Amino acid sequence: MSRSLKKGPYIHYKLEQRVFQMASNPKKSVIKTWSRASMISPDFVGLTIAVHNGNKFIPVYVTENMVGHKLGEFAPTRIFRGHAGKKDKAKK
Amino acid sequence: MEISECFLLGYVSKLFGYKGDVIFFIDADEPENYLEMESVFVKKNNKLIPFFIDRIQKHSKQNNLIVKFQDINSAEQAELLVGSELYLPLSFLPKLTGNKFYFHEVIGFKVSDKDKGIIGEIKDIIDVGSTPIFQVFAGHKEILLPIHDNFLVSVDKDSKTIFYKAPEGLIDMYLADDLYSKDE
Repeated sequence: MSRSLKKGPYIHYKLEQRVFQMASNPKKSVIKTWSRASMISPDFVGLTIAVHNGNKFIPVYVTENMVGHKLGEFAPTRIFRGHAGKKDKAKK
Repeated sequence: MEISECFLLGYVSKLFGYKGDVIFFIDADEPENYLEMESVFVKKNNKLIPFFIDRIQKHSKQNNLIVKFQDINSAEQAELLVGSELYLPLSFLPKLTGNKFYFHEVIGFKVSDKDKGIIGEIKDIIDVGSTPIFQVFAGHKEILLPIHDNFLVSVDKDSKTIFYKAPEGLIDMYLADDLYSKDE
């Protein structure tokens, strides 16, 4: 069952405060959070959020297509590295 | 052909049908680039054996291709290949220039931050989630840096250095003695 629209999206209140502070500040610094369940709102776009994965903080650079998803989706708790070696995977 | 001269394309994941077709799992950014290939190296007993391909079709699952090898006409023959790694020569990869790079190329490169100077060496690239991440080690401390055009200044392949402009506070966060200091 999806969350009631009446309530609006869940964003941890302290995280929301930090994001609003950051919006008025031209210097975009990293925000640390443990709140993996917080939803990414359009105010987050362009910020780098360090999301805790239970072990360490994973930096997540928020882009427009992440809006509506939860922060935890971008900080996996189990990292499968696959087979090591040379692959056709690139930054293009 | 030596394995060091090749890159890992993927592996044979399972059989498809009963006429000797198999499914390739292609571990690449754009698997559709491999729809035209005519042969592939299959790793068997630590040796690369060339196999010629009869036909390749797209599979409904992303990163999967349905492949029919020449001279393999039964499920029993094809079953011997299931689980084998697939390789292609490195010359098949187009050269990337400018700020473009293959992930395996930059392992061992130094990362130079705009403010902090050289911070460490890339040990690995974590390619999960939406943005791949450089795993850099500064001494014994791990620093994770997102690979994004907004932060990547330039890549100097000659001096093996990546010039990076980290978001404010990111490197300090990892270098701090107490990583868990501030609340959210």
